[in-house]
Amino acid sequence: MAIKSILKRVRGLTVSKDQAPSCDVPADSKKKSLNANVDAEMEEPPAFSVEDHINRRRSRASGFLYEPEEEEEPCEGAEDSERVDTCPNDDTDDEDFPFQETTGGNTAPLDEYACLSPEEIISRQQTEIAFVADLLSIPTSVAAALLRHFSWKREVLIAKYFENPEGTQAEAGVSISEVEVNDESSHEHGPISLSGEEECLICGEDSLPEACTALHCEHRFCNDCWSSYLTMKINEGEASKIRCPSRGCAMLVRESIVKALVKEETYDRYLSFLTRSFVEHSEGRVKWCTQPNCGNAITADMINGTIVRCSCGYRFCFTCHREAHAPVTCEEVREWEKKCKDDSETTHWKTVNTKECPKCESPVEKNGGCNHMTCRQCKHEWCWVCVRPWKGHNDYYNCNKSLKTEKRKTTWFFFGGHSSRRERIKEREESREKERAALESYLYYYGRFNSHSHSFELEKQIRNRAVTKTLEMRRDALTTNELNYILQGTEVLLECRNVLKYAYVFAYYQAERGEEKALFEYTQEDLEKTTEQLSEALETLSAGRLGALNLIQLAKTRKENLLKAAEHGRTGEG
Amino acid sequence: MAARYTRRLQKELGEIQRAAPAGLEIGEVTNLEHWTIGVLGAKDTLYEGEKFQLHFKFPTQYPLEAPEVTFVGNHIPMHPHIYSNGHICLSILYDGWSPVLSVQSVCLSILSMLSSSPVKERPADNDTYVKNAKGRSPKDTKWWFHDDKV
Repeated sequence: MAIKSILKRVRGLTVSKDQAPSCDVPADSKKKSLNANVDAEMEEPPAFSVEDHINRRRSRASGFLYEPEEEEEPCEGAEDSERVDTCPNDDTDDEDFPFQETTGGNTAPLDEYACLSPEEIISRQQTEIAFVADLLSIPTSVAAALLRHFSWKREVLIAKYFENPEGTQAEAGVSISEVEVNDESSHEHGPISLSGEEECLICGEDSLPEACTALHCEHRFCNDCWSSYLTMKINEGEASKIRCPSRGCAMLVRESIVKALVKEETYDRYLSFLTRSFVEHSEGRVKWCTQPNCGNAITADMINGTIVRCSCGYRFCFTCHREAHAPVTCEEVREWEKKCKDDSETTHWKTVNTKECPKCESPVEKNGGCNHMTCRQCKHEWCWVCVRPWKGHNDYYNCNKSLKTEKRKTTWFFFGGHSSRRERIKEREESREKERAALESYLYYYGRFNSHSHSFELEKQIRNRAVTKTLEMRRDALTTNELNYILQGTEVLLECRNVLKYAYVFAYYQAERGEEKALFEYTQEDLEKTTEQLSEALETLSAGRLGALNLIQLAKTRKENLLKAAEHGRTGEG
Repeated sequence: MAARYTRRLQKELGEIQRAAPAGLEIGEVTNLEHWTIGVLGAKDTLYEGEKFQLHFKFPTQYPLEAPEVTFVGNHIPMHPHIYSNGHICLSILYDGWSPVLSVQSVCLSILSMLSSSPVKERPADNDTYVKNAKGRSPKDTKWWFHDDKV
């Protein structure tokens, strides 16, 4: 059987043919399977007995019974045997939690992206600026302005600069001579020396040279006007692109001049805007974490996958900025969101939940009661189930007119010349039936999606509690190894929830596919079960540390399996 | 308005009252924040002999911020950059504003814009724009300056 061979490949399980279709497992093989399960999931919490587990496995909706064989269990078995070895390591690794990266597998490997704290954003900028300043032998302030002008694309800037240094400077509105002629530290008020009393072109007052400032373009304004001008620009959100106030002048205002001329709080604001420009003018190479109140940014060069995890704990898609949505694609999530929001689903619901009176065609909704319908408009009496006259029906709750007779009757009516309306009604009824099935399927997946979404929110609280608690303990200099597993567990739990949630969206869009879908649903069920167990273990702490650690491993493996199965379903390859 | 900016505006007013450039005439100003200036179509242009009214409204941040300038009255010039509601599509009134510009320089720019026009017609999108801009300041419009020849 194809499904089984796929299963075998993906999960590393063998499927015993004679056991497959029924629950009638011979006693000895039952025992064997029991042993296998004990081996595979030996350290599951005591609240969930092995027998329970076997029964659940047996009653799977698919009707097949998959039994792992002891010698061929590289997947779960291997994880299990390694568990004992990895536990002590876990403890040491966990020291840095929650700032430790816990993503793996389908999500991006560590080196593909980095999370930058606000301080790191600044230092990253400074490194870039220092590099360019050094390479091109230009002052850092000029290098900074040039980099901002070229949206932090170092290579483009360097290539252009080597080709035409003056032109590049002019294009960016900076001048090296401006800085070279004037030592920034010794000239508090102006980069170029001014002489004589002159009228300020903004306020029109005569001002002494020491109360004025001019950039290298020699457009001179009094410091009061400069200050008001810069403050206005900064309050409008500008920073890296503030130019000389003179009409058509491209000269950029340097940081040192802003610092000398505006109030400290405005300068701070200016600096924060400059920092933002590193992210916002990076043309998508650096992005903000989308969680409210998180000032971190992620810089990524994503090759495999799109999911990044901010050190605040939030996992999101680097491409579309939504929360992590594996195994579905960005397009599918967009479509799903639209579908969930769309009013058309309501209309859809209405369409499938009403029927038209077979006589006068006015829409009728059945909101309870028996199948005997009496139309309010034309008083026609009919059966809700078969949409034929009530006459001849005896049971109010069951319609016994079989489809067969329905078919014959229709044909008869067709030949009898009465049929056109009846045909029409029947056609409409059929299409409505189809729509109803489609809606039911949507509502099913939507319901599951929603419930995982809800659990996700609740489990976030567990995580937050755990983080607070651990931090408290850390302050008290107590050992935290005992608690770290809860942190790690909640992290994995949230990840699994997130995958499960979107797995239902995936299943909705893959509803037409047969074999791959069965495989997918199988892994989904596995993950769902483990996730629930893990959730319980972390909430009640019933499984103890070792039990929880085992569940964490198992959940991770099963999550990977699901993602692999989804990938398989999408590409049709093993 | 900061005192020194009020002084600048008064200075500008004094200058324009003392010696208005050819083609401009200023009426009586009772409120320093609202001025109305008469503009005469220049000789040998499509607008020769025509008289228009320009209205200036000064924000508190003037001259750091641009004044709001529109044509008012019954006679709005027929020009490819002037809408029938008096709004003017001219970059220095919006994104291209610089604090060194003044009432006089704005008026002269508008006069030269009128003088260089080869045709007397409304902008192509006049009707839709006027409908949408009803009651709004032209400074709220996102202007797209595509043609700097006229």
